[in-house]
Amino acid sequence: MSRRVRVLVAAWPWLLALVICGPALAPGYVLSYDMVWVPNLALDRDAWGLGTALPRAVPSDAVVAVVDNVVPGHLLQKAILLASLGLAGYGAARVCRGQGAAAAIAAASLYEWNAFVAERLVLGHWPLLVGYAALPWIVVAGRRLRRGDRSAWSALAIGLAASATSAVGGLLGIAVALATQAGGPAATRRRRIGAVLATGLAVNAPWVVAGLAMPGGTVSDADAVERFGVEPEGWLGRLGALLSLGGVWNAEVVPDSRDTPIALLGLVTVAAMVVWGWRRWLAADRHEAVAFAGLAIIGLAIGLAGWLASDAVGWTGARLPGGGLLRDGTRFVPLLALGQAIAFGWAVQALADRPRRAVATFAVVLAAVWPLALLPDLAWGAGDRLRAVSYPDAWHDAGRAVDRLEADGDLLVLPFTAYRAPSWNHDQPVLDPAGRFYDRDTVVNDDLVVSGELIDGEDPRADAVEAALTGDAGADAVAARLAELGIGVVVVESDAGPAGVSLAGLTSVWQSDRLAVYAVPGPIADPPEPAAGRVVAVAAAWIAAIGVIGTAIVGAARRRWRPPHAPRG
Amino acid sequence: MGSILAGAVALVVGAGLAIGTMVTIVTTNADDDPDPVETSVVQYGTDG
Repeated sequence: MSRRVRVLVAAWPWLLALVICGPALAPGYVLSYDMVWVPNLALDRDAWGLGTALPRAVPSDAVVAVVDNVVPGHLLQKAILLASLGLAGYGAARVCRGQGAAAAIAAASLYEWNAFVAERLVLGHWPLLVGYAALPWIVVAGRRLRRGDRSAWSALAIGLAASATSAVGGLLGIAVALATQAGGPAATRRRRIGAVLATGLAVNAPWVVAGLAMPGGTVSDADAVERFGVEPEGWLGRLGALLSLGGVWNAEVVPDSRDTPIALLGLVTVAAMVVWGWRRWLAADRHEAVAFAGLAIIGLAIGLAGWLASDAVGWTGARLPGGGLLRDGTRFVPLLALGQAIAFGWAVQALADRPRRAVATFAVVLAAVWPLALLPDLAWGAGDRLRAVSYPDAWHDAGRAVDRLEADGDLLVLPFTAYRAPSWNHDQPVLDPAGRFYDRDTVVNDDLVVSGELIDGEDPRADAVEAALTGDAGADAVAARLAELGIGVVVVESDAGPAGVSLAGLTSVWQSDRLAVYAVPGPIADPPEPAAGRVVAVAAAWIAAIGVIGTAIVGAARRRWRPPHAPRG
Repeated sequence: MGSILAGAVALVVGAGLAIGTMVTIVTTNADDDPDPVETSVVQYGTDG
């Protein structure tokens, strides 16, 4: 591969990333559904996994809370979005570089530009996209480990740690790392698999232990499975949507192009190329091709389970700790995407190797831009849906008012609902940013209303607060009950609807036409503190993860900057 | 020269498909309200 072609292969994924991000790179914060970024995220109990709510944002919130002390939050968000996309494509290119430049560019296009990326990006699942970007790099390191290169462990550990930014991403990372160990020397197989499992367990420990150590367990609403199962998209049906890497439960985030006949054309053409490429992959590396086909089947099965076996998935989520991870089954689509991208690369390289240069070039260029042509509305911030905005001045003023308050207790935001669609965010829905904006532990409502159906949250403290707000008690009794629950400050977002409760029993501290801050009078009970055993367990998990990641980074750095004359160990 | 021309034609075909997709979106989605029964939509608070 010439230097010019290497530069092209390296630059292509980053060009795609820039085209996808588009307006998201303007000054400000991109707030879309679950993607909530704030100027300075507090490193509070929830970030460590010690709050009363499910540790859904462990460890991503803790990482952001630490790093945004050095890099401003809005810049950090752009860097992560751009890097997630660029590294996903570049990683896919690296996986296929051995076959040739055509394979690398085609794999990058398909892995970076598809329905999964579009839907999860708009839905705001950036930690899952970080994990998605890590998967091909896990393949690169895993292959080296399989060949007997023990120094590959550092890169593998860093990849697994990146995948563990979200719980599902962590599971995907371990699955992919195990798949890369199929075949290879039998004598080292047990040791290699042991290393993968031990490393995977260590870097995933923060969210695993935080979940297992929760007093009420980590079970979720069984009835929610049908709402979060795979959904049909346009002409594709459920199976077609899933095979073409889409099928997300939330219809609002599905790109419009998925409802057109072109999506069906894309499914057929890409599937044909993938099948052809997989046969070539099978001939070149039987163990790996079979292992990745197995991963794809697992991803497909989990994706369909919420639809075909909703009772079983609901039972799992309601009774087994962590079983709720299977609820939104299309989060496991990356298991299909990775294998598809590699097989697609194999097929395109076969076209590139044809003797008639003009035909080969036509086929290769068309294959490289095919995923883009099938899903053009992913460009420019997913069709201008990912636009950076600034928090209104009132939010900063309210934050300062909260900071000045000497009242004890946690913060409560009213109205007590999870999502907003504020006009200052271009009416784009977003999980209420107030849950992260203020420098105080904040109680948020984790109930979700989907198509008019209530899906119960898991936070018992939120349930208690909701009961206090919705009872028949008078204003003073509500205030007293909030004080008993450890709520010392109430912020009312008047532009998100009525507060839903009388505020006459609270003390007004600061007001604007958009927000108001109240103090809860009287002695405020101490917010619930996590049990000592739980703190110790969660701390041990964090220490284990940080220890493994630190060791891996030091190991990688030493190899990277080792003087050329130094002996290789 | 033949390869460059072939690559350019491939880009034109790809761009044509993308433009065709966008035209299809615009023409089919103009009066297309999502069906609240068939789709899952998060309910959220709105201004005022």
